[in-house]
Amino acid sequence: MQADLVIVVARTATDPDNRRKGLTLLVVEDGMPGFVRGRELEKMGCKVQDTAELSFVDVRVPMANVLGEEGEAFGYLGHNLPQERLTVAVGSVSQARSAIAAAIDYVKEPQGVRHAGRVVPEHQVRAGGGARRRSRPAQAMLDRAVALHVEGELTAPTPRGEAVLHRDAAARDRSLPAAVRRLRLHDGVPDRPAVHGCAGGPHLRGYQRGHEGDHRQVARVVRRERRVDVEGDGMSDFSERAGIAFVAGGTGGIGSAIVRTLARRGSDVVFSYRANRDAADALAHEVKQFGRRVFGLRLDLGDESATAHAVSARAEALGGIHTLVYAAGPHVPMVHLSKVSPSQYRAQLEADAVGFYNLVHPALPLLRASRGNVVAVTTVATRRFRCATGCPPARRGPSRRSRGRWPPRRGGSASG
Amino acid sequence: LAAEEGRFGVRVNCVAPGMLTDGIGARLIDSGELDEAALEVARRNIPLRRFGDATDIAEAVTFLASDRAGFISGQALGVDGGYSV
Repeated sequence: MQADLVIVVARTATDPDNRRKGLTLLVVEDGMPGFVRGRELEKMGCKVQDTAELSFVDVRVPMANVLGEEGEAFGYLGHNLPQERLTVAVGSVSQARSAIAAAIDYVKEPQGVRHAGRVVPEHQVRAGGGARRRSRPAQAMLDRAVALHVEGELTAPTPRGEAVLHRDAAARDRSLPAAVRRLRLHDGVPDRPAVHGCAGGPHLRGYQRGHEGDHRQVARVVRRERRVDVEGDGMSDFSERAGIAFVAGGTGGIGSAIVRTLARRGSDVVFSYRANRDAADALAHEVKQFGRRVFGLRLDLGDESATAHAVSARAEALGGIHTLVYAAGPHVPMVHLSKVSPSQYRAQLEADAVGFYNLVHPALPLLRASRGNVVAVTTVATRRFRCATGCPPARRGPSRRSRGRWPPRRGGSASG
Repeated sequence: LAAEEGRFGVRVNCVAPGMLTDGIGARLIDSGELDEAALEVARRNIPLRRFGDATDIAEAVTFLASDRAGFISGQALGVDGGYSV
């Protein structure tokens, strides 16, 4: 055992009315008569922390070695309780999520589901998504707790902090068994990484117990969770933001670049796409390398209620929306107005301007809550335009620009 | 939106791309709607004499979305190589 100073929580008095009183912190030094260190105990996890039996027989401790006030140890020990609880929550949620992700990746591989000589039933594969969904509220609550802690507002006695942490604990209790249940799919497949996660069931519990109280662990884990994004271009503008950026039109040429850049700079991202599921899956897979949560969502922005539901449901599940990006909209053919029928013009307006409004309207209360922002990708053709951009006038319509002019004129006012 | 929502701390901005080699621009080039002569004319109309790409737009979008742009609202930022000047 490494320690040569041991802080002992000793009962120095008893109070029948308050069992928290009468505990005192005593610093016991190596070599004090009566203090003997026993063998180091073998444990399943936490190898970096040595755990040993200590024996105290009539050890005399000078008053100078009393840490703080006599009888006040309980208050000192509870001082960093919220942060210590965060350690457990961060470790639990990240382990649950990685176990679930590994399990889902495995069952999705065609060769994987037959690997053990049997086919994994379809309903079990789908259940993996359920496990993943159950881990999301836990992550959202954890993010909120971390944000509160960073702001110095997470304290054990405050109802808000307590509520957050209690919900965290509840979410952990729900999501962890789900993760472990998923891993039962891998019985008999010892070389899969997920199996090691399964073996980590009891290990996981030891991990939680062993690390409670290690403040540095919180710092390390939080850093790992929140700062992975710095890899890339060195900017992390969004890493402290709660909630997500919602990017409409995420699989487009411009939209996908926006999704990548937001994730690289530390934002969790939900992007919507109209039809191209393969591109959406590829983008989500690629962008996850930045260590952020990224979800693709098939959505027709022309569908008012579906769009409203998608925006509010994602925001609720993922801790709000800090940024709404509109990078969707129909293709703009280069044709003269004489070739654009009124019905084509109407379709263009509805797909673009109405789609934007269907998206932004349900997001307004969420953006107010986060003091967030909207960025719409439009066109510079509102300022300078040429012939044969017959449809772009749809983008100059008054709906997109609340103070826009109609008909548009060169040097039009600011959009939004 | 910027005028109405600003009191709630919500910022609203636009990024206004010019001619790009991604997105709609890529489709126009690939489909031949814009032939090489048209592209040359378009290029000549841009002070920087070249087209932008999606990352130019993404940079502007993420800047406006970030706290670095915390006092910018109601603006349309042209990202067009100077075309609209």
